Amino acid sequence: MLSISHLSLTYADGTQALREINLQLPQGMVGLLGPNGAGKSSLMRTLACLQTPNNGDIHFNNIDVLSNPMALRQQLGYLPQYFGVYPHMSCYALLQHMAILKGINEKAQQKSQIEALLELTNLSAFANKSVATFSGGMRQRFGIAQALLGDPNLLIMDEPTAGLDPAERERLHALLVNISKDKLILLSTHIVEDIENLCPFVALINDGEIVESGTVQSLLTPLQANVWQSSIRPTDTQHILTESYRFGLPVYRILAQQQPCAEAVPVEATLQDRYFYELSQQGIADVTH
Amino acid sequence: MLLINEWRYLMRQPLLWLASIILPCIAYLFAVGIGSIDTLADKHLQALHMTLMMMCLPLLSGALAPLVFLRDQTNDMAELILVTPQSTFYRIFNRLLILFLVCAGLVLLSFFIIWLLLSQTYGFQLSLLTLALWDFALMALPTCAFFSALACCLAQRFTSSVVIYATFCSVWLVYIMLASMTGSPMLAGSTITSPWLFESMRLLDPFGNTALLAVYQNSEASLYGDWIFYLNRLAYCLLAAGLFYTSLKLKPYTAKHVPALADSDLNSQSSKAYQFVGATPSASNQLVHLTKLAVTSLLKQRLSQLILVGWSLLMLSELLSGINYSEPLSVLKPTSLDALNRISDDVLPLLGSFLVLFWSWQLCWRNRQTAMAELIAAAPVRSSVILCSQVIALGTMILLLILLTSLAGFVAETLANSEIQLLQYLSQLGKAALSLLLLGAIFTAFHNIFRSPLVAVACCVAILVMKFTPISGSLGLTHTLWNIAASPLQPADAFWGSEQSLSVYWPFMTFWLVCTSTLIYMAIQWSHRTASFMNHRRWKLNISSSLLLIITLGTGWNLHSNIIAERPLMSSDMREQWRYDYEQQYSSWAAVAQPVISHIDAKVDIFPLLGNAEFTLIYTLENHTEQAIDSLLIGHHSATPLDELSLSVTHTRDYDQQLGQYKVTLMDAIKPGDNLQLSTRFTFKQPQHWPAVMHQLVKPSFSYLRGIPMLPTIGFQPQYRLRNEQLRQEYGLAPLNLAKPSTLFAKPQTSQAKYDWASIHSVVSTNAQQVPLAQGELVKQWQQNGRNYAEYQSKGPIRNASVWFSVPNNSIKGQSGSTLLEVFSPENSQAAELNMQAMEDTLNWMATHIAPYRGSRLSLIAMPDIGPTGYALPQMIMINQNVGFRAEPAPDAGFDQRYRRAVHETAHQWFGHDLGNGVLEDSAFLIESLAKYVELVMIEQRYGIDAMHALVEYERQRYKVAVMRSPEKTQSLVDATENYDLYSRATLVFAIFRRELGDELITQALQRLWQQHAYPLTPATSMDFVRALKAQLNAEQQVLVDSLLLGTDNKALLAQ
Repeated sequence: MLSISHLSLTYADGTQALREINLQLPQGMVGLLGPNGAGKSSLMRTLACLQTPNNGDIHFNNIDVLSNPMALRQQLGYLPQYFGVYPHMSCYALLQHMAILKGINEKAQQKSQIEALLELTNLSAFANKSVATFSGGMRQRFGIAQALLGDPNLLIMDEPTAGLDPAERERLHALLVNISKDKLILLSTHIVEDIENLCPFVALINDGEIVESGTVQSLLTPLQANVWQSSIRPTDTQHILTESYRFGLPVYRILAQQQPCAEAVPVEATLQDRYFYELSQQGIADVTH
Repeated sequence: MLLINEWRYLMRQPLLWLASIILPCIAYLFAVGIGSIDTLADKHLQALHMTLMMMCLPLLSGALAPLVFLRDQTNDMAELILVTPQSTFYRIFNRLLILFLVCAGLVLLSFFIIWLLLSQTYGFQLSLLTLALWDFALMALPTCAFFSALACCLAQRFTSSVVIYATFCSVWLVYIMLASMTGSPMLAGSTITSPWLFESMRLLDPFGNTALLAVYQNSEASLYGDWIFYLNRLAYCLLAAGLFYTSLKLKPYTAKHVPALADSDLNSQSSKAYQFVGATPSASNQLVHLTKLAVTSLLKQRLSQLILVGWSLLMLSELLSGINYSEPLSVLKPTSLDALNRISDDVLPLLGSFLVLFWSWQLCWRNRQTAMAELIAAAPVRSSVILCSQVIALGTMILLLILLTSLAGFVAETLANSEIQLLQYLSQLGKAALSLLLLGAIFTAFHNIFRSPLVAVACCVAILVMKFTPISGSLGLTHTLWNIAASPLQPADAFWGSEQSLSVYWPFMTFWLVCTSTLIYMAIQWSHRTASFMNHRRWKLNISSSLLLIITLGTGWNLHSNIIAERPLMSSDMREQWRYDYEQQYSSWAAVAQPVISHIDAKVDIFPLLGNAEFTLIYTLENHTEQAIDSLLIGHHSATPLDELSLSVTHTRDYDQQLGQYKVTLMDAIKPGDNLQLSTRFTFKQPQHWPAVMHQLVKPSFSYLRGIPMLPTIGFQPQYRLRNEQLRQEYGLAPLNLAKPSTLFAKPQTSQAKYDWASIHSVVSTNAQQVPLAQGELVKQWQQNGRNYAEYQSKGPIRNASVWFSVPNNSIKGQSGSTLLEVFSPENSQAAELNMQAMEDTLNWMATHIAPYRGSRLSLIAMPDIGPTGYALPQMIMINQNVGFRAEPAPDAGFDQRYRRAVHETAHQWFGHDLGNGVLEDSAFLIESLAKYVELVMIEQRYGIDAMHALVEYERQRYKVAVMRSPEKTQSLVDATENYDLYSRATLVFAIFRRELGDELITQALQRLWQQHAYPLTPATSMDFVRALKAQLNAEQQVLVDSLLLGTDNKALLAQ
C-alpha cells in the first residue's frame, strides 16, 4: 500500500535525519518504533508531504507522492506529535474549519461527521468550548478527531496516545483497530506496548535508518525460547535486554540460549525485547565500527 | 554572575548579531551618505550621532527587549525560572542592565565608526573624539537607560511582545513626526511649526537633540549644551529610575493558569460508529473560508481594533488640521482634492505600509505561532490557495483602511464645508490602495518563501527603508524603481489634476503588477506552507517560473530603457563628476575671447497634446572684445541635443558628446565689432516616464519653456563649476576662494562683470485652444493650419533669460501707462483682478519713484503646483494658482498674501531682471531683499500701515522660527544666502529703515543706483546699494545701515 524507496533527508544544518529508507508497508496498522531522535517524526512529516526529501520515492496506492502531494493529502489524516490551536475558536468551529480544508463541503455531512467524531473522542460535551482551554488529553483527542475527518486512507499518527489516560487510550485503540481494515494507519511511538497491542506490522527505526521491519511474529521468532527473566542481576551483563522494576524490586530480562543464572526462568519474547535487542545491537555496532 | 549568564544567553541570539551588523552598517551609511548640516566637523559629527540615535535606538531597544524580558514566557520557561531562588529585584535588574549595556555598547560601536570615517575626511582631531565620548555619555547613555527601563516596565505590566513592539514603533514614529515639526535639520523638509512645541521639546526630547540644536546658533562651546540640555538628561535618568521602580511594584508575572476544562464522562461509551465522508476539496470554498477566518481573526484582535480606531482618528485629525490651508494667513475654499492631498502622499502610504507589514506578518505566521501549521500544511489545500487567501485577507484589511480614510475624509469635509468630489476619492485612494496591495503581496510572498520569520521581516523592512528613508539616495541608488510598488506620481492639483505625472503611473504600476505576480507565483512554488519546513524546490525554477521571470525582467528592462532614454539617471555623485569633467576640460576657455549673444531670433512650435516643442534659433553673436575671435565653445543641455548647428561663416568643429560641447574653429575670425549668425534646431520632448518639472514642460493644459539651461550657450559657463570647497578638495580642484560680496565689492568699481542681455524676436505657435506667449511686444497673431501663431519682439535688449508659454486662452487685460498688463488664469476671478491691481500699483510706484519699466507688456500667468509659489522672468510672472488665485486671506490675516506675492514678483522686473543680474559672485540681496522692501511700501500704500505692520510681524515670527532651526552662523544681510535672511530678515531691516530713514532716502539711493549701474553700464552689486544709501545719510544713520546690512547681530530684529 505504501512503498518507500531510498528515502534520504538532510536538514539545512547538515543533520542527516533519514538515510536510504526502504519500506513496503501493507494495509492495516503499522507501528513505527524507535527511540527519541531516531527519525520517526522526520519520516512522518516527509510522508505527510510537509517537507521534501533530498532523494527517494514514495508511492501510496499508485500515487507518486512527491510529484503529486495534493493527491496524497486528499487521502491523508495526520496527527502531529505537537500541535496548537487557534485562539477563541470552539472545538466544533475548529473541526468545521479543518473539514472545509479537507474538502467536506456539504453542511449536513460536515455536521454529521463532526458530531460523530466528537462522540467517538468523548468531546461532545465540549463542542462549544474553546480548544485553547482544553487539557492535554482533550486536546489530543481533538487532534485525533480532526485526523479522522473525511475519508482518509492513510492515517499518520505521531505519538497519538501521548497525554491520554488509560481509559481514553483503550478507547482510541479500539477505534483505530476498528477503522484500520482497509486503510493504512501508521503509528509512531516509543511506547512499545501500544504497538504490540495494535500493530501486526512493525518497523524499527534508529539513527535515521530502518533497522528491521516485518510482522510482529516474524520479529519475535528469533528470540523465542531465548528470553529469560530474573530478579537477580546475572554476572554476564552483556546479555541483559532490560532492567526494570516491579513493586520496587528489580526485574531483569536476559537474552541467552542457556539459563543465565539460577534464578532465571524462561519467558515468552515480546516486541519490547526485540526493540531493546536491536538498540543494543546498534550500540554494539557503533562501538565496533 | 547572573549578568554573565544573561550575556551568555544573549550572545546566542541571532537577533543580537543581526543588530550588531545592521547598526554599524547604518552608522557607516549615515557617515558617508548624509550631507553635513554644517561645514564644521564637530557639528557634522554631532548631527550624525543625533540622526543615528533618533532613527535607530527606539527600534533597537524595542527589538531586543522581548528577547531579554519576555524570553521565559515566550519559551514556556517562566515556571522553571520563577521557582529559582532569585529575588525579583535581582532578576529584573540584571535583565535591565544587560539590555542597557547591549544598547549602549552598540551605540558606542556605531559612534566609533562615525568618528573613524569623519577622521578620514577631516583628519584626526582629538576634539572630535572628545565630543564623540561626550555625546555617548550625555546623549546616548541616559536614552539607553530610559528605553531599557521603559521596556522593562512594559514587559512587567503586559508580558506581551506585541505591546513592546507597538510601543517602541510608536515612540519612533511619533518622535520622527515631532522632530520634523520642530525643524530638525537632520530631516529634510522639516520646519518649526510651533515655537512652543520647540521649547517643550527642549525639555522633553528623549535624545536631548532639540536642546542641543537650540543652542547651535551660539558659540562653538554650545555644542556641549546648555542648562536645559543637562536638565533634560537628568530628567530622563530619573525617569529611567522611576520606571524601574514602577516595574518592581507592578504585579510580577505569574503563569497564566487557566484551569483546564474538567474531563467528564470518562467511561461513557460511544453510541456512534465512525462514518467516512467523501471529501472533494474545492479551492474556491477553501479560499473563501481561509480568507474569512484570516480577516475575522485579525478583526477580533484588540490590537487591530485599536489600530483601526487610531487610524480613523489620525486621518480625521490630519484632514481637519489643514484642509483649507493654502499658506500662512491664507485659506482655500477646499475640495476633496485638497483634503486628500493632506494624506495621500505621506501619512497614508507611510503608516499604511507599516500596517501592511504588520498584518502580513500576522497572517502568514499565524499558523506557526499557534502551532497549527502542521495540521494546515497536511490538509489538501493548495499552496496557491493558502497564499491567495493571505493576499486577499490583506487586501480586505487595506480596503478597510481606505474605507475608514474615506469616512474620515467625508466627516472632515463636511465639518470644513468642503466640496466633496467622489471621483477624487476613487482616484487618489484607489491609487494608494493599489500600491499598498502590491506591497502587501510582495511581503506575503517573502513570508511564504523564507522559512524564518526574522529573514522575511528583514527583507520587508529593507523595502520600507528603501522606500521611505534617504538611504537609497545616500547609496547612489537614484533609480525611480527603488520606490518599490509605487510610481513617481505627484500630488494632483486644482489647475491640471494629475496631469503633471499621470503618464508615469501605469508604466510603473504595470511593471510592479507583473513583478508582484511573478513573485507570488514563485512563492507558491517555493512555499513552506506556513510550517517553515524544508522545500527542496525552493530557489529552483521550472519552465513557467522561468518564463514569468523572463517576462518580468523584460518589462523591467523596457521600463528602465524608456526612463533613461528620456532623462539620464543622475545621482549627486554623477552630477559632481560632470561638473568636475567640464571644469577640467573647458576651464581654459574662460580665458579665450568669445562673442556675446546680442539677438535671438526664435521660432518655437509647441505641441501640448504631443508633449514636445520644436525650436529653431538664430543667434547673432557679436565680438565685443578687442581681439579677433577664431574659435567658439558652444554647449547644449543634456535633454536637448542639437539636431542641427550651422554658422554663417566657414568653420570646422569637434563634438564632445559626453559633456555636450562643440569646439568650433572659424576659418575667418570675427573681428572686433563684427558679428556672425549661429543657427540651431532642436526638439524638447516632454518625458513620459518622469513627472513634469520646472523649468521646461509641455503638457496639454500648460506649457512652459525657459531658455536657461535649455538653449545653447556660448563660451565657458563658470556657474557649472563645482562651488563647494570641500568637494573641490576631494576632486583635487584648486579652491575658488570665493569671498563674500561684502568683502569682494567693498570698494566701488571692483566688479568686472558685464550684463548678459539680448534682444529677442519670437514666433511662437501652439494648438488652437491655447495662446502662445513670449517676451516682448505682440507684433502679430494669426491662425494657420489649425494652430495659433504669435510674433513678439522685445523693445530693446532684455536680460538673456528667454521663455515661451502655451496657456489656456483666458485672460484679463489692464494698462499702466504705455504698458499692457495681462493676467492669464483659468477663470476671471476676483483674485485675478487683485493680481492685476498689484501689478498696476507696483508698476506705477516703481516708475514714479525708481525707474520706468523697460518693456511694453507684462504678463502674469497662473501656474500649477510644480515648485515655487511665484517666479519671475523678464516681462513674465508665474504665480501658483493655489496661493495666488484660489486662496483668500484667513480671518486673522492682517494683509493679503496674494497682493503681497504679486507685488513681490512684479518688483523682480526691476530687482533681478533690470538690476541684480550680471554679477555671479553677488548674493541675492539686490534681488529678493529689495523686492521685500517694495512689498512693505505697496502693502502700506494699498491697505494702510496696520497691514504693513502685520506683514512685519509675520516675517518676524518666521525669522525667529527659522533662526531657532538653523545650525548656520548668522551672516551679514548682503552676504546671506539663506531664504529666511533674504526674505524675513530683509523685511525687518527695511521696516526699520523706513521708520528711521524714510522711503525718500531709500528711493533716492535706488535712483542713484539706476543712474550708475543700469544696462548697459556696469552691473550693480549689493555693496553698491549700501554705498548709495549711505551717501544720503548722516553718520548716525550710517552706523544703523552698517549694523543692519553688514553686521551679524540679529538680536534687535528678534527682540522687537
